[in-house]
Amino acid sequence: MTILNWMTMAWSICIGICCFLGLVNLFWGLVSRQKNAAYLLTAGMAFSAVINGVAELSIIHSLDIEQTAFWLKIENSAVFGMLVNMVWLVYIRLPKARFWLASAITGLWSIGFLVNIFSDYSLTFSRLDSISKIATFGSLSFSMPQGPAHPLKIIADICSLLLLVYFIDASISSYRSGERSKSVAVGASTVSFILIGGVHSPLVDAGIIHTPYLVSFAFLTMVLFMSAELVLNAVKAADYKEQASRSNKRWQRVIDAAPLLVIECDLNGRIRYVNPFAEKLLLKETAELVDQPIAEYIPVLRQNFYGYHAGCNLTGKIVENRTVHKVELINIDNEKHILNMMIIDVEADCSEPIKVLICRDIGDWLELQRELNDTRSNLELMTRVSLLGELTATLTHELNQPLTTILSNAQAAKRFIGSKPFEEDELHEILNDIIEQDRRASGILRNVRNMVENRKEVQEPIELNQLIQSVVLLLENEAEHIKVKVDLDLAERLPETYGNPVAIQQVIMNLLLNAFKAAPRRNDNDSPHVRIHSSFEGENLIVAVEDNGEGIVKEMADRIFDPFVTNSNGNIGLGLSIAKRIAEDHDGNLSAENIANGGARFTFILPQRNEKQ
Amino acid sequence: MSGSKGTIFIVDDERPVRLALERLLRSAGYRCMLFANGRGFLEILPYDKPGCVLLDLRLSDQSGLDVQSDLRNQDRNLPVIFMSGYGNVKSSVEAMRCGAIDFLTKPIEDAELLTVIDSAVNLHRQKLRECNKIEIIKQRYSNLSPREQEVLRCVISGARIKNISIHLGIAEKTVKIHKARVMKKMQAQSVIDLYQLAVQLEVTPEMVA
Repeated sequence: MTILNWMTMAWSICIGICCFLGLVNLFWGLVSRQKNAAYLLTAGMAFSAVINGVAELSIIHSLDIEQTAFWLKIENSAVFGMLVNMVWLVYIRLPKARFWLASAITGLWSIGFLVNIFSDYSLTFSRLDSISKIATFGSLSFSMPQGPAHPLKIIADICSLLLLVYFIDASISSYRSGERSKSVAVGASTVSFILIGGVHSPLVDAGIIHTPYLVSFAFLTMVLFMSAELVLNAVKAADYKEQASRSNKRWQRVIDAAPLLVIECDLNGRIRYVNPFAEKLLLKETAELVDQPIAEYIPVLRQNFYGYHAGCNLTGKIVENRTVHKVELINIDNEKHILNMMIIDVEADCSEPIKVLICRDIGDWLELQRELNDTRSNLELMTRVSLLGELTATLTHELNQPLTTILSNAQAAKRFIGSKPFEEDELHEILNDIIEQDRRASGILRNVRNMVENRKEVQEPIELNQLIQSVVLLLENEAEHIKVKVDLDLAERLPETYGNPVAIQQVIMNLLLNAFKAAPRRNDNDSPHVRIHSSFEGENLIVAVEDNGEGIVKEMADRIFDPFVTNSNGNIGLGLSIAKRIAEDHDGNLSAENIANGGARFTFILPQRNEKQ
Repeated sequence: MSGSKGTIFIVDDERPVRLALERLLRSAGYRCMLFANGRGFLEILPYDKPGCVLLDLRLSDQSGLDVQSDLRNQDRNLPVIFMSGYGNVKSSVEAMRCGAIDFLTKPIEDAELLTVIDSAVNLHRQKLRECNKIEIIKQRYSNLSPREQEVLRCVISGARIKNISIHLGIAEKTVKIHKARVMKKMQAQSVIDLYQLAVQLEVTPEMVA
């Protein structure tokens, strides 16, 4: 009998493959950072299969009862090791595997294992009577131990049954719940195990088939199936690594090139990485910045690094509302940059969570905003001045009245004093009149002066009725001059609100002057008049100016609030567009409509505001 | 009211202005009547004592010019002085063309105001006197009998008594008596005086052959 026959070769190959797979799984389990347990268990399975193979081979060649008994014990121990590893491996890999079954199998087999160790002839036989030589293919023969079965061998049989149930149950449940590939692997290996171990072995026992037990090969197929996924993963891993590297390079290019600051920090606010744009702003290189607290450059983060977190992790789920904060960055040269900053939480699965700050330098933008505001202020001022220009004639006349009164009163007083006797009471009256008229003139001038000032971004308390009345006063003479009657219908009490009083006056003045121009255009006998209402509804204060002119022409209706639209010569046509803008600045609105009896109504809605807004 | 230099009518729609002007004019010895609009003022016309009107160009219900034209219809003699806070050329020219005495721009200095008012009131006084005079002459003329009026008409044509007697068909002596009565009633010193009175009365001379 040569050593190198087909049986020896077959078993050796089986042992070799199992050994190889065991080593691969062991290596992977120790080196990889994920799922160590699964790989180690598979390795355990594989090494048990190795030992089992060696034992089986020895039994095949053994002629000695003592030797056979020894190898039988080893074989059973290997089976124990193999099955326990397999049970817990399946438990880890298939989520639907039942814990109690796994524990029961482990428990029972442990008992069997102990019995096996402490018995004379292993768990399989209570007594080894003889070793018979059975002929098989290739004119070879193998040894087969004979003897009565061990009474506790039934433990192993029960376990095998439980094992079948466990695997089948786990496979089916997991298959249903979607873990297809794994369930197939476990299921297939179970089937092969049943075929080889559960079907073949009894046939050998019954003497129908003349081959040795092929349990090792059953074990081999199981190990192969369990390792299959590992091999596939290993192949995929290489591919992913390549893709990830490319992807990484691409994003790195984006981060490097974008005109945004990208700063990575750990959870304590220490810098881990800054992109080139940030390096330029901070005037330092990444290497110099690592481990420095970000709060050193963005002071506002000193108080509460977490308070600014925006909350979005890389899987794309938004955890909280993403907010952008305006912060100041100060570099070592003490240069200040204003940034719009967003903080993102990045939690990758197997690395330390970090926070990424993405910031945009808005210094230029703020500068532009300031210029724009200045320009707008100036424009508003110019239109105000132009409005006042329209009133020059009437204002002059308006001022002349108090001046005349003062002069004549004073000159009369001088004469009275010159001629004796004079009445002191009359002199008092004269002086009082002089004072009152002076105040009146000052009032008019103050109104004019206010209109001509350029005060931007003012938040002052607004008494709407008072503003309306002061504008009406200013325009009193103008109304008389054009012979337009002005009716005031003001609410008794209006809630106080905040805003820019001069701007509001500008709007009212604009509406009134337009109404004055419109009212007299009527052809019929109704005398021109303008009505001003003030009221409030809910949170809004409302001013409406109505005239009884011809109303708004349909073609103009959409455009009257557009700039440079006018229907009278000499007007630039900016008044209404600026008035609308002022209304919007106050969160309100300006609208126009025609009213039933002819004429137009302009409505200015002003929401009530608190000082803070 | 005796002792006042004249009555000034102040028409202006601003009360403080009226009061101030009243005080000033009173301190200069004038008496004032104050009106806010033309309507009230026109109701007291005609006025037969020396005075004048201080009229603002712009009143609340009508233009000062309208008031002035209404005034001229009711009292041709009362002088009008315009005042205005505007003072543009057009209104002032129009005002003067309609016969205003003067045009003052507010604020008005007392010296200027009083000078203008003074001359206006004097003008009015003169006109009143003239009006008066003519009234007296008219009265005297109406006291003449028709025959006497006839004789007057012939006398002022420069005819001789002889020719007048032939023309009228009455005796020369009768003519002389009539002429003497006419001269006495008309209070004329000479025929030339009589002629001048007749001109004022717009009586046409009767031609005698």
